[in-house]
Amino acid sequence: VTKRIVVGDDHPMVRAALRIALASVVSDLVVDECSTLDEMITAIARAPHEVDLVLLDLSMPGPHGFSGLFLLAAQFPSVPVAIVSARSDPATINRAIDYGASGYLPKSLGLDELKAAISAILAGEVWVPKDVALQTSDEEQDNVAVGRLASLSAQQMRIIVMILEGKLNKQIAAELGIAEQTVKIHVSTILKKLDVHSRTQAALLAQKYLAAPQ
Amino acid sequence: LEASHAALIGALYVGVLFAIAWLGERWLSGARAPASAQMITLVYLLSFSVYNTAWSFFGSVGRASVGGLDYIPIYLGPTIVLLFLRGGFRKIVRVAKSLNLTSISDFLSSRYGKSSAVAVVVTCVLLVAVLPYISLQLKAISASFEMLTQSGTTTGASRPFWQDTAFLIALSMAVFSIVFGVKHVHASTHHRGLMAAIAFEGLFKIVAFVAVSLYIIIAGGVSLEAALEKIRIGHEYQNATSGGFSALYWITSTLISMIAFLCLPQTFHVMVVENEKPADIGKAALFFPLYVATFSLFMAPIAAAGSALLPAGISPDNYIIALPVHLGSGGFAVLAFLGGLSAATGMVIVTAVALSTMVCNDIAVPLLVSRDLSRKNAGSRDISGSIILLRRGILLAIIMLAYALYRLMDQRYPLTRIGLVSFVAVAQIGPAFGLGLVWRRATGMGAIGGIGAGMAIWLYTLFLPSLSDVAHAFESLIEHGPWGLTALRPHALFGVEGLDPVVHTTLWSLGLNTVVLVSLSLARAPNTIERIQSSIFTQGPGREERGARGSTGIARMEDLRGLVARFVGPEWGAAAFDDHLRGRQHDTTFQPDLDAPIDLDAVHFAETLLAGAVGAASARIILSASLEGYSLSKKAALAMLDEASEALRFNRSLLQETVESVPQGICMFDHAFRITAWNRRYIELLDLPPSLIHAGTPLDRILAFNRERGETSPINVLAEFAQIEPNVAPPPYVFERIRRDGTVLEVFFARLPSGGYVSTYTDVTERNRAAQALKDANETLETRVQERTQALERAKGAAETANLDKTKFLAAVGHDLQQPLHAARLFLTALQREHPAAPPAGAQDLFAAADGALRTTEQLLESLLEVAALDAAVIRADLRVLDIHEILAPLAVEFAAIGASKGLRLTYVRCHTCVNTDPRLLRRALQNLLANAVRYTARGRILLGCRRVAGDVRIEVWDTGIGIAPESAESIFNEFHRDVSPTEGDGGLGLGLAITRKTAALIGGKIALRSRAGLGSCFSVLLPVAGNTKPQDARGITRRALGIHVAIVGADAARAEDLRQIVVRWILGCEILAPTDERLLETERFDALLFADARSFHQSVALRGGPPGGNIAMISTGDIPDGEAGVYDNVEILTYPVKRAALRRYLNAIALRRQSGTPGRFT
Repeated sequence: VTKRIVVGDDHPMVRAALRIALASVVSDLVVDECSTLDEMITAIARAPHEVDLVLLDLSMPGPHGFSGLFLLAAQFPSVPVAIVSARSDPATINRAIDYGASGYLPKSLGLDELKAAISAILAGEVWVPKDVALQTSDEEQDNVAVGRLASLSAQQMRIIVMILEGKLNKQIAAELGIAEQTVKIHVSTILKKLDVHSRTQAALLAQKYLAAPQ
Repeated sequence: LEASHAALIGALYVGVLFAIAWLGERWLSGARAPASAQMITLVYLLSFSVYNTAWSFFGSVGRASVGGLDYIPIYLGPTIVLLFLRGGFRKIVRVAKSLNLTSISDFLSSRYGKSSAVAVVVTCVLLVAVLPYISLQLKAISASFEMLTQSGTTTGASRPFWQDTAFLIALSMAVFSIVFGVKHVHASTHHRGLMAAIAFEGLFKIVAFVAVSLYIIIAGGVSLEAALEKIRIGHEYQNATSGGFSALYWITSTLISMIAFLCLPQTFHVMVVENEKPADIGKAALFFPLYVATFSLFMAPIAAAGSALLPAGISPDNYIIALPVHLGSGGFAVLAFLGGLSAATGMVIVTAVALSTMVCNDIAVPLLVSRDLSRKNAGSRDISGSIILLRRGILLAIIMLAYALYRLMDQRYPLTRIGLVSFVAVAQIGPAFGLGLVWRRATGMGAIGGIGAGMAIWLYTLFLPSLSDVAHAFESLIEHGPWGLTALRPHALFGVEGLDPVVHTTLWSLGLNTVVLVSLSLARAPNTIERIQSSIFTQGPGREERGARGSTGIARMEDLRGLVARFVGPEWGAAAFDDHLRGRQHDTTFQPDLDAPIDLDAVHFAETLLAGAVGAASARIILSASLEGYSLSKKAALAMLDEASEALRFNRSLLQETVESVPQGICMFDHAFRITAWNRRYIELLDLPPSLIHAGTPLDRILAFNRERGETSPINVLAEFAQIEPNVAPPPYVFERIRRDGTVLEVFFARLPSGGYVSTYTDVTERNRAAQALKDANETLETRVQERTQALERAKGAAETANLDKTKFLAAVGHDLQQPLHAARLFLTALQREHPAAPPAGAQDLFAAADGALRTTEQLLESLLEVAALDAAVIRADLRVLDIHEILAPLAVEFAAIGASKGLRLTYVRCHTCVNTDPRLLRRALQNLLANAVRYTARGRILLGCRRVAGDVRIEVWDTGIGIAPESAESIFNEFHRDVSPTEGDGGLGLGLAITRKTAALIGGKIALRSRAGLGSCFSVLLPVAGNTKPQDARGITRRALGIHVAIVGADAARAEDLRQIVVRWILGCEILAPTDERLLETERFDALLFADARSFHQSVALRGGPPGGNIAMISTGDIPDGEAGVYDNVEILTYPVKRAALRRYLNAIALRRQSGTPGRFT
């Protein structure tokens, strides 16, 4: 059976390397290469049911840090997404898994490990490098906040990232091509869903949970 | 037939009538009433037949025998009203119901500002017009009785009255009406017994008429040709006598009968006052035209038979009885007589009830009240009893007066003549009635003037000349006019000659009536109460709002309640008042506070209640007079009443006026963006073709029109509103739109709570221009300020750029450098894969070397980035108390392995001390120390252990390596310092110790070094010991299952079980349910439902008419049908064979949302 994997990474060379590496570990493979999150969404939306896996680089341009993970989950809840990243610290890996990723593949992975990782993820396992111990956060507060972030729609996720970037409603409206009033409505829905009272609180919360590690 | 037999039959009929009314009272009203709604509807439909009086029964045949089809307009009028003016008719009923109106005079007086004068005038006109009409009924009864008993030329009127059938009938009708028609003081109450009798009569008379007619046609051998011939001859005769201007006659007669149908007291009473269900009007509108059409159908054949078979001496009015007698059937003659009797009595009963109400309420009550209120002890006596008594007396008087008139009336006077003369008089009310419903400016003065003028013309041109047969004095008047003035001849006013007298009078009287009404109305503006009332009558009654408002401190509820009870009856009145007070609290147990001051709502209710008893005009008089008693001036009392009427109405017309007069354009849409309302300004401002804008036009079409002419709005409201979740109440959209001609419109768009949308358009061109001018004026000042600000900002920006954080720079560079490195390594391994079987000699080594080089570069970069991160202080310690062994043991194992590859031996001295530290950072620091130890030790051993020093613990790493010279002891901790060249290829940038020191500092540790060059070194980290606390449990080492419960639904057990096997390891709980299982509905029980196949999903949907709530995933075999996806927003479709990763990811997403505490749905 043909497997279809969507690869999102801004670096063309990394994409090419990933494609070659994937091709050598998965037989009968189609790879969609995307350089932005929007391209990825377009590629997935073409046939979401045919996509077997999405590989998402954490430092993609466009939405910020982990927001891409939430955004894809909001739009395509049943399309598996694994993170590929140059980072391999346990904290980041644990966060990605806490946020619902299907696996975490450091870019320094060897081919054998890559092969094992892909087949484990396709079999429904959650794969992380073997020297990383998976730990679930015990902080109830963190879990609730992450659950709330996960309940935002894709559009609301885009907007909160822009709020985090310090953009005004007007700028957000222009960027998304919608009316400023609609942005306002989205913002108040976001505040309600996140159970916060101001933009600043929402931005702080987003900063805490969405920002990619430096 | 013997007169005594005939009298007995008549008496029997009257007896039956009483019985029906009594049974009707029992069956159709009261709590135990078994009457069905259909029964009440049927009674209502049949009661319309009071319009068909003895005149229809006898007189129309007479008319048919002399005037061809000229009897038709009398029936055409009601038909037109019911078929084509049904909307207006409905409005009349609605208004009358909402104002509790009791009669036609009450209706008109209420329309013209509850004016007593209008009430009196209308009552008088109707009394004058209708009294002879009652007499006519009595005459018809008498005449038909004589015809039946063949008493020849002697007539009832020539006998003493106690032997006169008409008198006996009149008396029994009076008794009947008093018993069944005047029961309650509340005249707007329905009289179901009375109505049952009227309905019975309506049914009886048409059955009798049709039966007798069929008998005559069959027994008398009337052919269709004969009937048509009769009509033709009648026409020729008509043409010959009245100049052939027949169309005019038809039009005027139809008009008159339309007015009469609506304004006759008896028809108004049955159709409007007695109406119980507005829906019945529609049925009546179909039923009654059929009813009169049936009547009309048989007129011509009977007329034809009469003139063919009967001797010339018999009046055509009596053909219907004379014919069966002539043909020898006593039975049908009796039937015809009874039919006529039923037609006459029906009219007499209802008319008497209606007229007595009018006379009593509009003339007697005001007199009674003014006398009563002027007395000292006013306010204590119950008046409702006297009002009933009064009304009964008046009723008896009316019938007796009609009888007296009948005795005086000339016997030769034909029935239709009286009928038409009466109708023309009634028609004088028409202009006031009709214009009152459509023209808001019409005033009471205009109405009185118009009616007066019309009545004068009627009296002079129709009534007086009609007496000429009796009083010969009028003959010369008709011939030559008064004082020989031919221009004033009654039948040819101002030379309008050659018209039928009825047509002539109708044209003149109605014409003048209307002209006077309009000019007098225009002469003076309506006063407050007229304005309020006219808006109710022209716009229809508005929505009434209940609630205590406008509290006035002048009187108490108790007083108002007492007043109502006095006039309406002590029990009923007080109960109705209390009910109302309770009703507006929406609480049936509420105990009304009778000591509370009265408010406008209570006053209004009291007035309506009184209006139902004594009419609107009298109610107003009573209330104003009694309010006057509470230290209000008469003017203030009336003003308060007006306010009460007005305040409680949602004044639609006022709203319409307001909407039309605001400078904004307003347009409203329903939930589907179809236009519901707009004002003219909207069309003007947007310059839309009026043909485009009508109720129901979709907004889409307007947008399309605008696009076509090149105008677009900056915001597509349709698209914007569509994005917003339906449960979110969006704030209004406000934006500016520039039209092509340069006009600037401010557009305001909001969603209404009711689900529709409202948009307003304001022309803000001027405002914008003014703002622009102001802006220009400030421009010069602002430019200078701006220039300065910009210069400052530039300077600041330059400084900031120059001071750019090196961390950021490093991070960016580091990330970019990492990318190609990773790629290179992947390329390299892929290349290696290409030739796995037979690698060229030495190639493996080269691959390994290249890979090692790349790996080293990667590690160097990582270190670089780590230093940067430490400098930027983005890494924070996450402290917890732990047993230090937890950290040291794995490190010892790891580095023992690495050391072993170099032939080094690593010894770890176990240590169980608790420290408060960040395990990750500590591990990182020790990792560096151990790595250095391994790197710089060629042979020998490495020791890892701890030492307690005072309150601290020191972790030490000993090696037997190259050692460090004392002069370098400090500098080795600096960045980019390396004491010696790396002995092997795995050299670093010299960052290791710098990182270690910084990391240790983060957890409060101090790095120390003891070393002797060539012998070895001891690096140590000094950490504070955690008090006597116990180590906290390490966080969950194994990842917990997803915290959700899932139900697998499948008809196929094997497939469901397969699915269960897959998901059961991932989640907390999982069970298999059948698609029909009720537990599927318990949305709290499962976080997600997993349908193993499309069939069980559809089965479950079909069973409940929709999918269960909550999150649902459905595994669909084969292609996903187009219609399936996106139908239900909570259903996610997965393909079969199921992709485990997709399923896992979906459950992950649900578990994640679940954490927020609410089972979040995907929408």
